[in-house]
Amino acid sequence: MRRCLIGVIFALVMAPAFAAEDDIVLRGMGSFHVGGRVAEVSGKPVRMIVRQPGGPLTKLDPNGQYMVEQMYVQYFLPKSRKGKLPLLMWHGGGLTGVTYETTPDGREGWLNMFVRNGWDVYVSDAVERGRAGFASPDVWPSEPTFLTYADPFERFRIGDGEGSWNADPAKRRVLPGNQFPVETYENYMKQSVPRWLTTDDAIIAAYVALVDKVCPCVLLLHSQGGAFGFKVAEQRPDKVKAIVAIESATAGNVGKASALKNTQTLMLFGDYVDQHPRWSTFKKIDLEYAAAVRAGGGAVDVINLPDIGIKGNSHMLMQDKNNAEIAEVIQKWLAGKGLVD
Amino acid sequence: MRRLSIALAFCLATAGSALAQNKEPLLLRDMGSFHVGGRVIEVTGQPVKEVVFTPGGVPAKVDPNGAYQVEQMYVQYFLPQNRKGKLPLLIWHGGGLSGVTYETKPDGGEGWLTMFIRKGWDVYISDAVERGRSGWTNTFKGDPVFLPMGDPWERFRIGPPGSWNDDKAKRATYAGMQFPIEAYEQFMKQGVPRWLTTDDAIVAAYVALVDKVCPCVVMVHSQSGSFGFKVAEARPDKVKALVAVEPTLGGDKNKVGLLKNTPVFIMYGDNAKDHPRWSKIRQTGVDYAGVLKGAGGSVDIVDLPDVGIKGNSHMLMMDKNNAQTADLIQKWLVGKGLAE
Repeated sequence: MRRCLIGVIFALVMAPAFAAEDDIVLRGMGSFHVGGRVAEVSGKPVRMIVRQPGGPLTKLDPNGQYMVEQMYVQYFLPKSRKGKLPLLMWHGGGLTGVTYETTPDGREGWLNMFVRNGWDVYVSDAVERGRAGFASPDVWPSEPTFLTYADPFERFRIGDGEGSWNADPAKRRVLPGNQFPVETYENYMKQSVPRWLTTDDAIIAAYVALVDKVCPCVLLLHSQGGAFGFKVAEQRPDKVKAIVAIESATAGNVGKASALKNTQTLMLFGDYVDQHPRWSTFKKIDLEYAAAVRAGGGAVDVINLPDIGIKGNSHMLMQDKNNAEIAEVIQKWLAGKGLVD
Repeated sequence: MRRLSIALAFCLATAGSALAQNKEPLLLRDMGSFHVGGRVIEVTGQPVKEVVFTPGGVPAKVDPNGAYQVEQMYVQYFLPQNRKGKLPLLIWHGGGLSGVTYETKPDGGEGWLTMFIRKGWDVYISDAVERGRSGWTNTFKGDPVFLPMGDPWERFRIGPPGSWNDDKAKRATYAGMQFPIEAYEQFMKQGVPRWLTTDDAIVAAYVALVDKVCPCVVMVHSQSGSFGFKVAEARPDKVKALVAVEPTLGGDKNKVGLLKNTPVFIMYGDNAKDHPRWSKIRQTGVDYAGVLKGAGGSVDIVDLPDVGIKGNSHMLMMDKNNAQTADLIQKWLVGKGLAE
């Protein structure tokens, strides 16, 4: 009781913890890993290793069972919930869920924006990326790929195509009016992680496990995550109630597109897409899939940002300087589909 | 007055239970993330490849020559609205793991990250260089190490040496084990590979982090014990206190003079004195602490069983009594004047 009296006095004396207008108020946050399998390795020699300089020798037997192909998920649940379903954000190739966090130039990312809009947001790292971990060459024999500084600059429509990158910032050729925060391109490159080209099935299996755990839901997909998201939706059409596909790098299987007839879908594209050989091809593939969904009785909305007056967006729309404006376009579409209270 | 009566009602409802789970909303004045440290290297003389990144996708030309970003570190931060910790609290994970160590426990219970946010600390949780969201490159020397399912079971003192079995029913644990063994598979999903040759790069990125966000309190676990002491030696004016949870190594005995203004709290779980590996590691820590004290430093060592807290594994922050051990740390920090 003495503790309680102190508590009461404390409550009287202390300024109460009011939520400021721009505070993020969460009813919960946390993380988990989902999916994966136990793989068996056998026939490898036992080694003694020093795990850190000066530490004792310890035995390492590489044979045995390994946990592989799981996926990492972090979630933020706002106290004032307005999104009717969980919103799952899936990143693109060579990246992690960090894509949606603070932008390379330190502004607020889509994770915070959608949490503030009242969505239960689940941001994940696909199998083999980031906090999902990756398996040994005994389990995955192929080599991962690593990207140079030049690669995303030229491929993600920040620079004006091949040869636009230069080590000297003054000599980099940026697409006119580009919204990407080029002055902090280095910080973007720090977000990169290696990617394998042989793990798609494992990645999809873990995403299906995630959907089975937390959905019905809305998927927000980017780039390579689009290819995964549409395939997962084809497998779980009853659970994926809506898809927002940001510059999906290929979509689902045209032959299975009719599975999405009850899944509200938005495909969204940035600027410079039609004149870019690579992105115009991806867009063509996406639109063919959209046509197949429609032929199967489904509905797909397509927004080309320049058509609605939003210019200069790179492939990394969620990190571009006008990312809040694009988040609003998405929020409005979701509200229009009855997915927001 | 309404707030007051709620406080009073809460008090009456939870009186006597120091471990009552606080499920109040989390009020954050901000949250976000960044990468820090790292360097750019140049690769030359390699052939250009065509790569199809997505099956059925458009082949892309990949020229492996050029500049690469390497050795950066990922940091996520949560800043509570009602701040009580006087300095930022940086929490660093151990080997083969990432910041996930401190998040939701394998059994779904609340981890130290949210517990310390609730206690009013600005928490910065990171993935060391090459782990998790920090990314990695093929520029590190040697091969990374992957841990088989049974390795942490015995090495992290869930069970004694020889206690692991692939068959769940045949696994043995130490008596009164606090680790949530029913969720051991979930813990193994948190594992990431680790290299054995990257210590300098890891320390360099931690120093960059300290330079960015400190003065601060650093909390380390296991492998990062060694990193924490090294970084404190490099930035003694910025690391104002060090909480070392089962550090696998202390600092440099020749540099203890640098840490005389940095109070240190070292905590060991159960069975550490008897386990063949941990008894040596613990003794190294205790010896280092003795030298640090001799040089005028302040070190408090707690062997949890000696204060009546039994059954803790090496993964204290995931053990069933993690709220109790978090409270012990908080009490020490408050005692050092680092929290209101």
